[in-house]
Amino acid sequence: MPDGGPVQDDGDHDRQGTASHTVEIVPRRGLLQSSSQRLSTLLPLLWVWTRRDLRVRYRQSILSAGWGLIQPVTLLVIYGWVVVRVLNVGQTELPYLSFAWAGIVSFTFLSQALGQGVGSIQSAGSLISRVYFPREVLPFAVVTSSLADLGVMTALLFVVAWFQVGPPGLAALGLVPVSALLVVWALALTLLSSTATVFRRDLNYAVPLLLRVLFIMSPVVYSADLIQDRAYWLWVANPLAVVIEATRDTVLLGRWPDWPLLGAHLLVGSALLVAAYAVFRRVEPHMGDYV
Amino acid sequence: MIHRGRRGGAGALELRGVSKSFERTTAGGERLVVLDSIDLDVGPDESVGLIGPNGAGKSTLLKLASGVTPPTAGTIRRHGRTCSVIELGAAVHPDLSGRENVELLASLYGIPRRRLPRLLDTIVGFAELEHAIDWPTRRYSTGMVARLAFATAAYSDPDLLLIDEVLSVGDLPFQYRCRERVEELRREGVTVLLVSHDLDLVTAVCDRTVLLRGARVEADGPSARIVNRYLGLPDPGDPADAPLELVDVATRVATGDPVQFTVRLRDGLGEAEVGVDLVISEHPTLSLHGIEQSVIFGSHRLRVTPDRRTFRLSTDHLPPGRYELHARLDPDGEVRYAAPVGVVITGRRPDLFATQLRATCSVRPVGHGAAARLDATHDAGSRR
Repeated sequence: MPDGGPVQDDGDHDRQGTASHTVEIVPRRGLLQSSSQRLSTLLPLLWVWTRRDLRVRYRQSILSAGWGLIQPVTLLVIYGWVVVRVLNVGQTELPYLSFAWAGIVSFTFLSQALGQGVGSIQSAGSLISRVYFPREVLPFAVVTSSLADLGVMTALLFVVAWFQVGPPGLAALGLVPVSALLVVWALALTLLSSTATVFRRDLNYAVPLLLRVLFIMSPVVYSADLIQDRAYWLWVANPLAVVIEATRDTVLLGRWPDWPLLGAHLLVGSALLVAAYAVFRRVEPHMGDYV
Repeated sequence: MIHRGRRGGAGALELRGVSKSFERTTAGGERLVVLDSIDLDVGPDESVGLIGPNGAGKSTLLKLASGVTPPTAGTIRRHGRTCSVIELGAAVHPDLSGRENVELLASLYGIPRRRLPRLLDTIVGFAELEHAIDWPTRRYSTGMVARLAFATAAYSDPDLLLIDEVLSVGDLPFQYRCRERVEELRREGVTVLLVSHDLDLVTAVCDRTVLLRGARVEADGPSARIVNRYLGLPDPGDPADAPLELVDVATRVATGDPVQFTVRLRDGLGEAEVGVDLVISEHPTLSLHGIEQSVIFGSHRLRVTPDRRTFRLSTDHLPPGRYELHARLDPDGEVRYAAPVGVVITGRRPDLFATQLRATCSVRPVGHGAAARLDATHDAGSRR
């Protein structure tokens, strides 16, 4: 990769900017120097691209948005019924539907964001080699459009939980920071993987595999005790496991989440997001040459 | 209507020692040099063409200018808001409607969302897609997609317009409208950098042309001269071929304004009697009636001296159209023509008039000798 990359300008999209401005494409400056200006161009773009992703997602399919539910329900039946009921592994006190759904919600969101996001920049190659726009909008839009499904599935979780375990308590408010943790990690991982995929395509193949491993290693369809007892550190270090467990605590059991653990993961996730963005900005100018 | 906030030559581009090279992925390890220390200035309110054989680096230069890819060395300074008009069919999603795709394209071209609703009708009208705007673009032809993308770009309110080989998309009437729109933007003061293999288009739209060959700028000067050089034709302005030059003709004048031009003699001749003819050439409406060329100004005898080289010819009786200005030197009774120079006379309502003319006939430019001003400072550089 050539070194000494230039700063990409944000001028193209700064329509509200000063009457005239000069853009100098020279060796790069600091990351934060143009960040606020960039944010003001990024947000409107993100809005348009999120709407595009949502419009496109299930268009031309018979069941349209139904697919957003069919996929997690199938997962739930196959893994939940076969693994838990037939093989009798990881039984739980809670009604099974509520219990498993609380896990499926987070996993489906992460797997959708990461699975579709990993190739989001690379697949828009013909676009980013032609016109300049803040390219992080591509992976970010995948995450934000997945938020719609997350919202629907979370609402369903509350409905199911209401029937099976009763109305949600005050602790259900704890779901807000839990969701924030999930979204921060999704943004960081999607940005990082989509950036890497521009230069080397390996993650296109690795991400589906990693998601499957993550599914097995996280207490999505089985109880967290199962993994906590055997591989405690593996559980503590897994943000998805923490999110799932906290979801069950707050929505189903009326307990506040494990704040220190949640805070630690939020901190690590945010740091990862900032680092991912720094890496992204560092290599972004060269993307046009690799796609 | 389109928004016209600040206008008047805000767009400019400056390249200093700009190089671009790629590491070859094949064995050998040598670097593929696409552009080699390019210096280029595109001033405000200028219209510059970029021509050259395939692989000369034209599109790469445009990509560098738009910021899509960084230079390996050198600096690029850009002034004003930039719009890259390139083949953007890739941005158009086949499952979305034309309307939804305009919204998408507009976001890429940086059109603020609050301006879009008012602009949408103009864009759709320009693309002539009113009937199809709610169809999924899957049902569009290639030309329709290109029209949609160009129309959006054409109304994105740029200061600097970078155009890569897109004006030749769409059907003939649309090509004319594109040309008209580019000229309209130029009149508003938008700076244009145009890459094209359509040399007639370059000659018609650009005052100045840059010839890229082998990663370097081979020639830079008035379009007619550079295009001829590229084609291997004799240089019309070559002082070796003609003792007389027309320099600095105002190429675009309104009806009633005098055509102002400068005539220069080759060194050593000092003083001479010069005849200047204003000639109709390929005037669309007249050529329909079988008149290919006619002298309508007669021979104006002018005395060129080292002190007096600028002349004015009044043109108040000329209808809008494209004309050629010939300067003629006949010291020994032997007529020798210097380069003919294209002059465009515009009417009071030039858009309307020109559109009507061009819509009814197929217009070829006056040949590669036509157009633009001859710039004396480039004479020596463009000689072979």
